[in-house]
Amino acid sequence: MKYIVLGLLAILLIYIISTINSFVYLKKRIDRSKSLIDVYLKKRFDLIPNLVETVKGYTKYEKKTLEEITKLRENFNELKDEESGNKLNEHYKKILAVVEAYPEIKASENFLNLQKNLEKVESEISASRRIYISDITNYNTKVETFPNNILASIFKHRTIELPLYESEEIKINFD
Amino acid sequence: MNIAVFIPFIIVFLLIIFSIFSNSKNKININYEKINNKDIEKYKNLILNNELLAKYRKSYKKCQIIGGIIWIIFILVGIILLVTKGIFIIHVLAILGLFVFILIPNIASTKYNKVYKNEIIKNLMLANNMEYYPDQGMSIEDYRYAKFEYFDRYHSNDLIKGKVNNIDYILADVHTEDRYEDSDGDTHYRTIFRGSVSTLKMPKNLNSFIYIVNNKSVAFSKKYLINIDNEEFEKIFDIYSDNDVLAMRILTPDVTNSILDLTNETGIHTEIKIFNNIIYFRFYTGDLFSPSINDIDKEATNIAFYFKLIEGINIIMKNILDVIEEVEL
Repeated sequence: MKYIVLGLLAILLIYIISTINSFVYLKKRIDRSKSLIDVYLKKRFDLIPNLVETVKGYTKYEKKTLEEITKLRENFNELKDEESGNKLNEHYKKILAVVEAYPEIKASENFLNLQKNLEKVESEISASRRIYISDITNYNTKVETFPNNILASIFKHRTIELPLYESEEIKINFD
Repeated sequence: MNIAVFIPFIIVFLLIIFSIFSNSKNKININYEKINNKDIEKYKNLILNNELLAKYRKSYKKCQIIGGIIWIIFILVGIILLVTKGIFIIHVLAILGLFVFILIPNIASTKYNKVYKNEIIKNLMLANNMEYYPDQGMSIEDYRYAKFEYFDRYHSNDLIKGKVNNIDYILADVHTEDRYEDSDGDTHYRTIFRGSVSTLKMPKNLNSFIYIVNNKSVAFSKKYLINIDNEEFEKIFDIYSDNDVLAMRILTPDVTNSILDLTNETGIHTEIKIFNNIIYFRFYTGDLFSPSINDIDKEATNIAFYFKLIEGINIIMKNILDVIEEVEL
């Protein structure tokens, strides 16, 4: 009888350890996939100076605005803060709107060189966001299902809110 | 009565049981329900209307009867010798008779197979803009490059050549085996894979791999496991890749849905590997092009199934190629 109890306790202990480790592993995957998005966002923001160069002759880009963009990029690269990222996204969208409004820009050599990089980076951002959402969903499923949810509440593993990307999705269509 | 008399019958019985179970272990689980009955009827009429095949079917039945009679004669001779002269060789004669019973109809079935492949299958393939070479197969180097498994023996035949998006692809029957020694030191071979394999060389090199397999069917490092945002796909398949972002860019909803459609329509165990610039498809279908001389319905169903498989492969390849063309690597 003693051995049966010890055996059951051992199984329970193995289950607890493996479940906690899997929470940690899934959390690390989420951190990794989030940092991947930042990497590709940085790639997108690195294209901004080239974009500005392309549209410069067609619209007035004040020196003050260019300085602001440079500073925002430095902030984002250093701190990865959301505010800098959001403002840079706004500038990025404005510049792309200018490209859409001026067909002659699309035909320019500068832009043609940029186009492939733009399409690639948007595709990479979209893919990395899908990975991020899948990793969060996996983690949330693990944390919420019984009996894992008991351990999750004891060790303070909570579900993570899924990000909403719809409004930020930048659709590139240069045809 | 000497038990040795029953040995040949026990051997045959065990062989039948073994073949049934070896099929199920090889992950062959074809779903024939979704195959269009009109297609099956069409192929059945094609087979029935071929005069040469009809001739060899009749000849096969005659050979079976002759072989059966010879077997019975051998056993009767054995019984007579035992009863009259006390010579016990009935078991030897029974085994010899069994070989004759199997061998004689085999002559007719070999001719039947040749006509079936060179007339029926070849013409069907030509009608669908494909070429068929029954005696050629996929080269061992091409198969080895995919690194599916280590094997000791390799055989391939029933080669089909087709085109998707103007790019050539091939599809062939492949059989791989590994060697092992039993406790007596005798060498045997056992099947690792038996089915259909297709390859296509893409215009771009991913410099990575993407491996899609049925859930938990292969032992692969978990660090390459990718989660995809398609619940139905995740239920059936595991995806491994050394570049998860690239894999996600290629496995668009169109691509994953076409893979799901093929799996749901056919029910077969599917593996897809994109390795650098080559796409591999591997299906656990068994030997699909072996005709069943006694069972025309089964032959017609197999042909219909094979064309369904080819159609599904074409759709998946097209979707992948469309994505690869657009994606900047």
